[in-house]
Amino acid sequence: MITTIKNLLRKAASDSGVSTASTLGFVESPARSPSRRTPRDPDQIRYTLHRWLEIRRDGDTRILIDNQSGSITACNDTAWLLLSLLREGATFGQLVDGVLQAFDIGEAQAREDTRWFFNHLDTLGYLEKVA
Amino acid sequence: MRIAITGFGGLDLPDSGLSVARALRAGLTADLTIHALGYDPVMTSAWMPGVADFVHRLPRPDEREGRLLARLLALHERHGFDVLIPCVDDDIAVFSSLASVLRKVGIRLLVPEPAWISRLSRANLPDFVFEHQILAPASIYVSDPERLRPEAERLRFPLLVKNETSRQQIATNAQELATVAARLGGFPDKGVILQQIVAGEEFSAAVVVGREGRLLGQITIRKLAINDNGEGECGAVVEDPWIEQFVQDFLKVIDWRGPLVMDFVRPQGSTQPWLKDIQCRFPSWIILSHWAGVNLPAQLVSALMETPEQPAIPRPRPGAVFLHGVSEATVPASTLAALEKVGSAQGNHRRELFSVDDADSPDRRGISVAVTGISSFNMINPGLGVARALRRAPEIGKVYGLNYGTFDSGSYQANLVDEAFRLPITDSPRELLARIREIHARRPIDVLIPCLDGELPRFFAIRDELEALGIALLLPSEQAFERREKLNLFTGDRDLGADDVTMPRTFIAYSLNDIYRAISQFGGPVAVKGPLFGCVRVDSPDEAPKAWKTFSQQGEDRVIVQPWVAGEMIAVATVCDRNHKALSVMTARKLANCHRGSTWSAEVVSFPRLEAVFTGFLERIEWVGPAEGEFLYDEQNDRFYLLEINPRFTGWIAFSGETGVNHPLVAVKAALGETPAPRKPRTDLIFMRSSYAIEVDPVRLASLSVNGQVINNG
Repeated sequence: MITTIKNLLRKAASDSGVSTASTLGFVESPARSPSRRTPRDPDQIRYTLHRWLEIRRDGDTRILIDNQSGSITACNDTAWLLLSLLREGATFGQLVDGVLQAFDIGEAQAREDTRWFFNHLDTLGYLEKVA
Repeated sequence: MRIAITGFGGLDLPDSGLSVARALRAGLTADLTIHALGYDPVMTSAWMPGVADFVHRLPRPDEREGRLLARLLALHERHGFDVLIPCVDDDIAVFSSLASVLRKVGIRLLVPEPAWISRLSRANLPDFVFEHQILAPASIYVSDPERLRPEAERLRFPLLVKNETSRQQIATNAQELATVAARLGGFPDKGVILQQIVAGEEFSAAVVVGREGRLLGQITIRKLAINDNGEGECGAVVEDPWIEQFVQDFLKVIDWRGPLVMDFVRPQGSTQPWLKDIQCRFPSWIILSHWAGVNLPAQLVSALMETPEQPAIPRPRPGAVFLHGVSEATVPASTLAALEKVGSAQGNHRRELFSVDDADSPDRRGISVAVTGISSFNMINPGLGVARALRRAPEIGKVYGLNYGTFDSGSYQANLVDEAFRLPITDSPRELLARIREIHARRPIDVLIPCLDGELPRFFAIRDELEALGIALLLPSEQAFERREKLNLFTGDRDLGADDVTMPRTFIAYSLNDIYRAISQFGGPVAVKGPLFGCVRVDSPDEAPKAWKTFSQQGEDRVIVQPWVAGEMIAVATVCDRNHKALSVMTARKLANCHRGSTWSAEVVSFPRLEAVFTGFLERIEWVGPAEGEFLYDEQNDRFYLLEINPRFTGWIAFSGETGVNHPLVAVKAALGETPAPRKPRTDLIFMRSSYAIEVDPVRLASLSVNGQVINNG
C-alpha cells in the first residue's frame, strides 16, 4: 500500500561500516513513540497527521514527506486518499466511508484495509488525536 | 554593496564560495558586486556565468601573513569591500587573526576568535567533545607515525580518516590506512584524525551567529544519499528538535561568531545525534537555505551591514531538497592570462555561448536524442557534457536523459534534458531493449548515444533491434571495441606509425612476483594499471604488494605495468564515421583533474601530428563513433605516450560545443547518415567545471524512483 522510497534508492544515507559504541555514555530519551491505540470508538475520535508530515502531488506522483526524518514515501491511490482525509482530520469511520466511496470493494475489505493502514501510521507515530 | 568571498576551488570536494555567492545573488535586493578571491588560477567555481563580477588572486594563507594582508588592503583600496566572507577551511583562522586590521579599514567580517577556531579544529575536537561530555563517535588525533596503526586497531576498522581541514576517506585495513593518511593529510608531516564509523542516519546543521552572540539562523538537513567517499550528495531540510536543541546548547558552551556547520550521525534506534565533525564556515549546500526561506549568507550580510534585525529567527521550510550536480562554462584565455599577470580579472558575465553556430543548419528539424551516463554521484559521467553540447545545437529538438539511479543529477537539470527515464541495472540486453522500446513508444528517439564504457557491450547486442525501431546509433564493432581495450592495446600491434607517438613499454603481471620483475626490468618507478581502470604509482619494490592488492581486491587476475613517465596530460577527442574516417578532432591539455581522475579544467591545444597519428590508428582498427585518446606528453623528449583509448565521449566534451566543433552534434549527424563539414576548434577558450547544487522537488525524486521517469520541460 505504501512504498518507502529510501529503500529503493541506490544507496541509503548511512555509512556502510559497523556500529560501535561511543566512548561516552548517554541516556536515551524515547520520543515519537506511537500511541499503539486501537480506535475503540471509531466514529467519535478524530485523528489528524502530525504537523511535521506533509503530502504533495505532482501529476500521478504522490508523496508523504516526514519533515523530521527527511524520509519520502510514495503513495498509491488508497494511501493518498486516506492521507488526504487525515490531513483534514477524520474519524476511523470516515476513513472507511472514504474508501467505500472511492473504490468498488465491500465494507469488510474497506474496514480491514483501513485498519491496516491506520495501524501502520500509528506505529510510525504519524497520528495525533484532534482535541 | 561590494562583497568579497573566498572558496571557489575544491573541484569534486567543493569549497562553499560559489554556494554563498549564489545565495547572496538570490537573497539580497541591494545592488551587489561580488569579488571572488582565491589562491589558485583554476578556481573553477568563480568562473560560472553570473557568479562573480571580479576574480582576484591572493597569496596563499600559509605564505607570510603580511603578503596576504597587503594584497587585501590593496584590493580594498581599489574596490572598497563592504563585507568579506571567508569560505575555505584553510583561511578562516588567517582571516580571524587579520580581522581587527580589516575592520579598521572598513571591511566587515564575522569570524570567531582564533582561540575558538583552534579549540574546534579537527585536531582538537576529540578532546573538546570528551571534555564537554558530548555524544560523538570515538575519535583520536594522531601525528606520530608509530601510533597510527595501534590507534586504528584500537578503534577497529573500517574507520574514517580525516585530514586537519575538510577531507576524509574510509580506510578498511591497516595497509589502506597508511596510503589514505598520506594522501589525505600529508601524514606524517601533518596529523590525521581517526574516527569510528557509526552506522545511522546522517545530518548536517548550519548556523550563523551574530556579533553579539545571537543566533541569526539555523538550518538542518538529513543526508538522503552519500557517495563512496562519504560525501553527502543529496539532502533534505528537516525539522529535527533534537538537533536544534543540541545546536542551541552547544552554542551556549562556545563563544562563537559567524557561520558554523556541524555533521551528525544518529545511530539506529537512538534519538540523540552524535557529533561527527565541525567546520568553521558555510557548507557547500548553503544555497539550500535560500530555497528553504532562511538564506543564511544574506542573514550574515544583513547583520554585518546593520540592517534592522528581524525580530525572530525565521524557520527553514522543511522538505526543500538539494542535489549536487555540475555546471560547466568557458572563459576566454585572455581573461585567465590577465588574472595570472595582474592578479585580477573581470568575472564571467556571459550568459550566451561563444559558438552557437547554426550557419550550416538553418533548419530546426527537432532531432530527438537520448543520452546515457548523466550522473555525477561518484564520477562525472560523459553524458552530462554530451547533453550540454546538444542543448546548444539548434538542430536538436529534445534531449532525453537515460539514467540508472534516482540521484543521477542530470535527470533533474532542465537545462540539460527535457525528460529523464530510468534504465534497468541489468546484464541482460533483452531487458535493456524492452525498456528502450517502452521509452521510444512514449517519446520517439531519433538517435541514442550510450556514454558509459560498461554498457556498450549490451548496446552492441541490441543494435540491430534498435536500428529496426528507427533509433540511429554510431557504435564501433565489438572487434574494434576489444582491440582498444588496454590488455589488447598494449600487447597487440603496438605500432602507432610514428616515432614520436608511441605506447609505453608494457609488462603484463599475473602475480606480485611479476611486478617485482617489471620494476627490475624498467629500473625506476612504474605505473601499475588495472585492465579496465585505475592506476597506482609504485616507486619501490616495497610498494608493489599494495598495488597488487588494490587490483586483486577488485577481482583482477592480472595488471599492466609500465614505466612511470611524468608529463602533461593531453587528450584527443574525435568522432569517426561509418567508414572509420575522423569527422572532427579536438585536442585539449588538462589543467585540473580531481582525485577521481575527471577533468575540471582544460584548454584547446593544437598538435596536428598527434591527431593524425591517433585518427590513423582508429581508422586501422576500424573504429566508428566517438573516442578519446589519452596521452602523456614527455616534453623533455618531445614524445607522446598513449595511455588509453576511451570508447565513448570524454567528460569534458561540452567544451567542443563552445569551441565550435560540437562533437556530440557531429555524432548525431553521422548517425543519421550525414557528413558534417569539418571545422577547426577555437583555441582561445578555457573549459571550467564546477560542482553545483541543484534544487529538486522531492515529488520529482519520487517520480523517478517509483515511476522511472521525470519531466523537466513540457
